[in-house]
Amino acid sequence: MQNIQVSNQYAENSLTEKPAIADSDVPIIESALQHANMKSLAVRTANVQGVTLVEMPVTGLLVLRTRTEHVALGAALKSTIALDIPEVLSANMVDNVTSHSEFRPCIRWMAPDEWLLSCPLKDAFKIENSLREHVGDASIAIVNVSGGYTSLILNGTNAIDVLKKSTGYDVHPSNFMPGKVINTVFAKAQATIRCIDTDQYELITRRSFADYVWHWIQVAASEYGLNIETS
Amino acid sequence: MAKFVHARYVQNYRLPSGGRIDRSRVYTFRFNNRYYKGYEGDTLASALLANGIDVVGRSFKYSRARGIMCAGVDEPNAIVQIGATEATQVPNVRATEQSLYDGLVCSSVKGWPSVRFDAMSLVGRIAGGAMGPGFYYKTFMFPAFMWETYEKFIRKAAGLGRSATERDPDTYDHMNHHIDVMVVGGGATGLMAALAASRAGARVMIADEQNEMGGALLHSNVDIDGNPAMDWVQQVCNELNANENVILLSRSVVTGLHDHNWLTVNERRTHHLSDRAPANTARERIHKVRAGCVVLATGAHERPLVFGNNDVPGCMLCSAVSVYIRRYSVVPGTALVVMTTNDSGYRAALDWHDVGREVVAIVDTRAQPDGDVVNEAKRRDIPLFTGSAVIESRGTSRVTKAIVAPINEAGTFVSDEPTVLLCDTIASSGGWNPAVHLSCHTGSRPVWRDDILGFVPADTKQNQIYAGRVNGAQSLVECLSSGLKAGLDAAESHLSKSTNNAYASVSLPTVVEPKQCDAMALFLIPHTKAVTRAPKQFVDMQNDVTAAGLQISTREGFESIEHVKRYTAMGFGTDQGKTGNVNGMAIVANSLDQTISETGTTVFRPNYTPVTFGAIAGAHTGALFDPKRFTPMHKWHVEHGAKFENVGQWKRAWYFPRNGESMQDTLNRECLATRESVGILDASTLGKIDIQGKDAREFLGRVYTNAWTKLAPGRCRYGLMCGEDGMVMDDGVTSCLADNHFLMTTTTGGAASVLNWLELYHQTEWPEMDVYFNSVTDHWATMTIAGPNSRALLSKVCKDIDLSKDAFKFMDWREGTVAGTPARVYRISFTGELSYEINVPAHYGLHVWETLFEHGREFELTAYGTESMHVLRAEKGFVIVGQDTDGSITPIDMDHAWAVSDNKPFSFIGKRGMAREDCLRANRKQLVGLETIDPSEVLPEGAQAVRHLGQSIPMTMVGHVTSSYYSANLKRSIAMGVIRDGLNRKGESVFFPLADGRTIEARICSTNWLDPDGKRHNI
Repeated sequence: MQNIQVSNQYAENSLTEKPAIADSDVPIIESALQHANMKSLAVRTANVQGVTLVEMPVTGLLVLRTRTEHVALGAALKSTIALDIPEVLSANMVDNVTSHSEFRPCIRWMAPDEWLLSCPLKDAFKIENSLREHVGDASIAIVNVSGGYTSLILNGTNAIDVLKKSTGYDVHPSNFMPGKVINTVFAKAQATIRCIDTDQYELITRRSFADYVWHWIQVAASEYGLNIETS
Repeated sequence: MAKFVHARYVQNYRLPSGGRIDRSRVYTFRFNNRYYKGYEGDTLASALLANGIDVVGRSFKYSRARGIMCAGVDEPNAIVQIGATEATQVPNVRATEQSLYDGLVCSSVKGWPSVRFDAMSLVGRIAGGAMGPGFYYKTFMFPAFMWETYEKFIRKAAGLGRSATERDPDTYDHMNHHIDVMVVGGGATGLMAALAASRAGARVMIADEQNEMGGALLHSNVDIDGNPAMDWVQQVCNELNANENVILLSRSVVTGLHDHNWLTVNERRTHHLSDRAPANTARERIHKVRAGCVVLATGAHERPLVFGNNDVPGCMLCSAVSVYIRRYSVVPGTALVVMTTNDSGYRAALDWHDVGREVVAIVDTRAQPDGDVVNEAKRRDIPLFTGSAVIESRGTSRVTKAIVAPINEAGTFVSDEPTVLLCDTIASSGGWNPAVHLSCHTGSRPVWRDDILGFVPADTKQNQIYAGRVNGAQSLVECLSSGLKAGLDAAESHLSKSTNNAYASVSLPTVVEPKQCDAMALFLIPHTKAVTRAPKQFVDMQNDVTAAGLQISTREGFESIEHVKRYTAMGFGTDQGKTGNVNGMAIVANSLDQTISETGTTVFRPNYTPVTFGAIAGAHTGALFDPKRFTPMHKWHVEHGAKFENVGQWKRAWYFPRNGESMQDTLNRECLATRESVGILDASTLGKIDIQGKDAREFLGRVYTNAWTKLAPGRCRYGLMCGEDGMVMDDGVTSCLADNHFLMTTTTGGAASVLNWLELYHQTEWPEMDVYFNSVTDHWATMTIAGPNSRALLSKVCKDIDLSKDAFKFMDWREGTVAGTPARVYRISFTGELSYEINVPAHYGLHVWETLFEHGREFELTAYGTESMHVLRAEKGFVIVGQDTDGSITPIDMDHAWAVSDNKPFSFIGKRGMAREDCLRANRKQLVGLETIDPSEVLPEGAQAVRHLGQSIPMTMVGHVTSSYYSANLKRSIAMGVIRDGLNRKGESVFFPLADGRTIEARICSTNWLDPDGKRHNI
């Protein structure tokens, strides 16, 4: 696809991890659940078992779309971040280590013509540009949606029960195994849910729904105990 | 206030030992303001019987004393109101299903003002004669205006219980399951099926309504593998519990079996603990189960016999007598008469005899019964009347006598003089009704089997297997073997692999059962008098439907069983006629001279037992009823005292009152500050759709009414979107980011439907187009600064965009850095002021917003909400789709002909629609401005316009007000509205006669009140 103008400037903004109080020109990054004050909740729930919830720092997210150019997209991914296009309903991650990290790019199958690539926020622009270079004028759309979502990690022995209360999808380990990704309803919101490892799940939900999802998880996990950790 | 009396009663009817109760845990409970004691393991019903409570309620229509009749889900009489506090009131709980807990408080729901002294009984006796079948229809439907009065009287008198008037303090939830084999019923059949299916490797769920698994084995005296049956149950449960792929749910009623093997299971999680659930525990949970194969092992309910005064307390089911004796160690009387048409009734007499109480007689309707149990009764010298029946009971609040008479072989008439037996309990058994209810939920109608004298489930298109008593099994051996086969077949059908190995690994336990003698088909016991003259022979206890009532209804022409049901109310109660229905059908069949098969059943629909609204709602209540969506700047709005309004699911800042300002004062301040200096609006909720692909531009041209071919990168354009009918559907500004890349904005509420609309047209009409749509609504935080000082403010936080008038023109957008973050800035205006819409990734939103305020102090930067936004745009005549349009307005009606392009090479959606004759005719409602003659008077939105007064009502209405505000900038009220032929009638007056009697006159005018030349934004 020709002439798609890159319209984001994350490259100039690799300032993300710095604390910024004094100088208001250093942007402060707020995750969707910033207001929930996870740090103080983490202290209060330190000894709670059952379900653990972590809100990840804001992650770089790119939506990749193509109906016909899977080969070109695959090649671009391979040379840019050394990842293959994942199979239907699955995710590929650099190093294929089954643990969650915002530091390793991970690509998820979303739909027959759609994938979601996560990466460190500061790398998103670089990867976006690099992919564009590789795909040239192929019919491929790339959209930076880093601000539009939040990633929550649910783990613990009862994490699966929280999922069972929240989605009609079959999350039994025989059907929803590590590496699998689904797009489904979560309560009355929508979520991309990835099974990271046994009893460990990643939920990517829309930023504007994050408070609802957070509230829902608190209620759903209350009978098991909800432990908050910070990333 | 009633005095609470500590009952004199002790548990006189409790046996000294035995039963599945824990005598070390004594519970005190309150029933009708008296205190009693019971044990852990009791149901409320067994505890009441242990304390000798005969009367638990009064009947619906005749107000007759009623006692406990059954021991489970089929109980029609023992319906109580439970709850120690107002907030925890639960109506219509079956005492036979309610586990006893310490401190339980309950009362009869029937009987007003009290069960013991009952005001209705006289009314009932007198009115009873008048209250024949169809009494609702005949008596109370006319005159119609009296219906409400009658209903109040009936409800109060009959006492259907009451719901709490305070908020329910408990929580409820739902849980989803995907199961290979769902077993309904935890009796011998179900357990065997679950065991077999689990050993075959299936994911299994087994649900049972009782507090523990076992079903009829819980009170059985049969040995399995040479040990008590419950040892086998325990062994099976242990194995199932240890299997992580098996879920056992007790206290869980499968209430619905829907299409595609989707089941709803209502688990009562805390009813046995208290009337209030412990912290962090849902009181009830609905399990939503998607099953590969369903094994229905729902068992059977015993059928009582219909005889004179068969509702007097002390009349019970034979099986209930056994349950109370063997499971709860309670003998519900002192002298028993059993009447039975089959061998199973003998069990009650033998169990009663086993515990040393007097069995006055067994009355067998069969002339020559000869099963093993019959011989056992004879061996014990229990008086046996064969070829006889109890034709009537005597007593008012407790049975005192049974009238026994010989009957003919067909059971149709009394053949000799009656005998009177003194007794206090009459147990009857007319056979067993398979619990077919769930099998009918997807439309199949049960079929009658003469050999077992019951309806069994019919074939179904669902992948379901019927096993055990529900399918006509008559013995425990048959139950176990059919359960075994069902479990394996179910696993095999769903796992699509052979279960031969599992066959080998599951063996049938050995059971020795008594030899049975054939049962007799008998439902209504004859009396010496005709049915209509005999003492009342109750069919449906809960709704007081009698055999006579059924006969009368057929005589009056109600021949379909469905009509009979509705005419007499048979089966309409909270028990859904579990004891009465089949007897009723048999009686109807007999009086119509049909077979039962020809008569058929009524339709059993979900739910099998009542489900509370709390369980249905689950956790989706209160704050979680509907998702609330928040913008990245929401926290700031809250901290600054914003009032919020709902726009779709979004919470948008509505206005920001300061120090007790009124709403109007707030709006005046916000609007003036914006026009005079600079205001800021959180516009993050606007829908934003990223559109890429080489056909993106062409696609826009097809979905918008205006042209897009010439829009250059860096430029923005307002677009109108119509439906096929040519009516305005959405609007917004779309920006060209690059030749193949656009950003479309939509209304807040339209974001999802517009994206759907684009996808629908792309996927179904124009799949050849190379274009991709992605929602980026949540990605961007959007803040609009508007007002003469907006450029000065922006220049303080943005150094890398040339903001000068000519370099960054109206309807341009630029990329740059705002407050240190990557931003897109659009110079567009919804206020008519110089205005910039700043978009930054959402995680920077609050930072940029706060930075703007830091730098905005010198300009008195003022946050304004959606209400001021409405006023400011109305001052310019800008429309809001959905407020000023209602799906019947074309762009032409809206005076937006300029936004419709007729010379596009391809058509656009709505072009043909708006060219229809009706859209082109004169006198359509058109959007215009309205100025009240009195500038301080604000028209109410929705007010209807007439051209002149003095018409008689109904007046000819010519339009209505769509938006109306007081404008502080214009120092007068302004309104927009749709008026017939309005665009041609500017300057004319219209009148608004209001509901309160006032009439407001307004002049039709242009909508562009402020700055019609656009000087303000062009600076």
